[in-house]
Amino acid sequence: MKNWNRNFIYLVLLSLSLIVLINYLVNPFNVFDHKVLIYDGQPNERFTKINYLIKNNKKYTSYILGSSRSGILNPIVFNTNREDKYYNLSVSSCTVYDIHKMVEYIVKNFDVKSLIIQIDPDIIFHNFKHSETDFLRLHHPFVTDESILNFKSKYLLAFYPKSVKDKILTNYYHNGSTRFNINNGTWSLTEPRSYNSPQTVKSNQIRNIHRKENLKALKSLISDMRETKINYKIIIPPLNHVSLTQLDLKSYQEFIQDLSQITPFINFCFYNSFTLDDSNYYDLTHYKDYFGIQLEKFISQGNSDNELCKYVDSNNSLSHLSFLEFNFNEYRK
Amino acid sequence: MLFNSYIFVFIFLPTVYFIFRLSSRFNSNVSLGILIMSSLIFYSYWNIYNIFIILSSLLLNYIIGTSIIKSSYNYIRKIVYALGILFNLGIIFYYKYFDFFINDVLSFHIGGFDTASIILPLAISFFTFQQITFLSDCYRKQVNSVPILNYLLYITFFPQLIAGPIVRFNDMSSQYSCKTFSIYNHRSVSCGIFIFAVGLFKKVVIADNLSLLVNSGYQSYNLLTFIESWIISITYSLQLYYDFSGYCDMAIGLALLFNVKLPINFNSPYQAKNIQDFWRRWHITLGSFLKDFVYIPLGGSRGTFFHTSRNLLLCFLICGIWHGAGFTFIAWGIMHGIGLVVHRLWSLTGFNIPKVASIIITFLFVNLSWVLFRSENLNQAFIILRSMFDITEITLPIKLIKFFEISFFKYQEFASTIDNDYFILVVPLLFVFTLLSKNSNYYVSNFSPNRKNLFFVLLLFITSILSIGRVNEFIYYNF
Repeated sequence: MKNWNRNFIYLVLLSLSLIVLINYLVNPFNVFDHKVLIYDGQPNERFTKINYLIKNNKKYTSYILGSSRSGILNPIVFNTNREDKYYNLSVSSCTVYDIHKMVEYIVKNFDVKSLIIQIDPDIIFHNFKHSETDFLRLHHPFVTDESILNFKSKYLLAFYPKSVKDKILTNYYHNGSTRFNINNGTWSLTEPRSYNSPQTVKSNQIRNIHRKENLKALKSLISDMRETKINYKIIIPPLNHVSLTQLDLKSYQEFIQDLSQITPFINFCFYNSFTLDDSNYYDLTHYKDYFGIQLEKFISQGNSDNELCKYVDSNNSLSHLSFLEFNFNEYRK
Repeated sequence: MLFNSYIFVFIFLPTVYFIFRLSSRFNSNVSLGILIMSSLIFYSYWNIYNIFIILSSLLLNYIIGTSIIKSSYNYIRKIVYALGILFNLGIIFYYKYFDFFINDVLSFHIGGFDTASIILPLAISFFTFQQITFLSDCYRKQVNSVPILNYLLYITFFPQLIAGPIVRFNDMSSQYSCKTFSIYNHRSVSCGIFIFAVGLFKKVVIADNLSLLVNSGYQSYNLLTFIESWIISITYSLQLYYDFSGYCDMAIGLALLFNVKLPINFNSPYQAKNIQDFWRRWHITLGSFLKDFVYIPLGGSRGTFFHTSRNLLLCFLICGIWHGAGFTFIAWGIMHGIGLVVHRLWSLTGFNIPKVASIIITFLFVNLSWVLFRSENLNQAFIILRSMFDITEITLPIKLIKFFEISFFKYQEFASTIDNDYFILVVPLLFVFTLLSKNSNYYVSNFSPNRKNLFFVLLLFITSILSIGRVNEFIYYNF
């Protein structure tokens, strides 16, 4: 009996030490400050980018925020004025909650002049706050006012065998398919990828199940930016026609209506020659990086509409909703 | 500090245990003092200011309790006892119900005073109920002397401070005064480790994972279809079960580490054959408290059928209100009261239902009532309940469509942050397991510290520790 208790304590300490050691050395999400394994897996961008900016924020004046879609945009394209120095602060599966938290943090702690914010309807419709066990997507502890010790303990005392295995294999074969550049915040593919849209599409429609929370967070975000007099542009990205087909039109229209009442924005998200052409995409979700050049052009041109994008505000929102209705029905026939 | 947090498992508990073991070499009073101090630190970790509330409650109730014991005049004893009860109920009313009563019931606004600023101190319902049982035991002469350290630890003992079980003074004081209290007991520690690991696993691996699906479902409550609403409601029933059962196991396990035995508070309630049986198994010590302090003083089942029914309804109305200041809890309490009245009526007919059917009917009733319990307001509850009975549009999850290759059903996504398909398999299996498995207290009493159990407990514990990253409070911490 006495031995049982003692053995239990020893085995617990041994097992936990082993797990802590593996998690620390493999460092699958790059939250520990070392490079025992040289090739990165997919890092926790919410942590690594803020961590980088804490030391280097003086180099930048402006930021791009959004999901992994905008994570591919080269920020240099947007440095049109001499004072502009953009950093791509996009993070994977970025929600309105994520944008709000990061904007709150960077505005409070860094010198911020302009922001380009991409809001992805398909992501925000079914995600608001990512799970606390989603280790790829935990915010930097400074962003959430958490203790750094508690944050790192989570990564040491967690079980994510797939991420550990992936990072070890990537380093063994030296064959990571994606490269992350912390100096400008972008990601890129190591080999060109050709994409053909799938023949069959899942019949489920993505509905906005977080409408209330999204609306509240958006209002708060825009109000913060107006108070601090930061220049900002909101864009809705050009979802691939397959992703558009999966979007519930009613939810999408409600979202457009909600957003237009809060702030003007540029909408690329409808069926057009760009979204219908698979060659503009790396895969089902990610547009290619040259979209950045087009985006910059639209932003610098002001509020002009064209075939690929529409400027929407509270005055023209109703006509835009009719346009979307017509556009979606026409292409979904 | 939560039982399911790194700071508790890796810092607080080992430190307290180590100091407790060291202190046992001196005097049992030193050990009691160490546990009292540790419990106060544990409690004040949430909010340091709450310590003044619990200290005031301790001081006043100790004075009232000892005054009742010392007084030889019956009328003085009665007055002091009544004042003590009023004082304790007053504290609960002010912190828990004042805001609800003023704003929601009376729709009355007090100028210059924001009732919403009254923050409910943690565990106030539990330790106040325990104070009431203490005063009652003093008044009924079941307690003759109150050693101060025993009394302080009786109220503050950290394994049961936050969410029970609600215990009797004599039951605990006799253990604290026992000569073997601070002596290391191998079996007690082994059993404590075992039941704590089981409880931790129930909480962080089962209940917290189920909560993801439940939260997602309740967020999109107005979009739920027939099957989705049933999945969500049953998942919540299981979440609540494993959350509270996990807490009770952990409380029993922690107490055993310090050589203290707590009463069983949870006895496989979903195996109950009727609603009365359910309340003998779910939160047993709260049920006993309500029986002793509400049901029996109202007359219990001594009067006519009408009187008994009235007493049951009142008792469960109070039970509902105790769980929270809100109309959903009131509706939940009334629903259980009505369920018990119907059960009494049914018993009069003498007609017996087969065991399996009676368990299923009881579970379905309880499951429906948990929808009221979980909902933020009555409107949300009605929408979910309506979809649970709306068979006009049955949609199937994609996994089942693929499995049966049925193409004419429309799949609607509702819990997109979760792998629905995984839950479609897990929830029914867990449900069956819950209905068939023995209670963990059975395994504690039959626990033998062998190699097989060592690796089993180790597996449960390590799996749980690796899942602690997401810290969720126990549901019963809110009451």
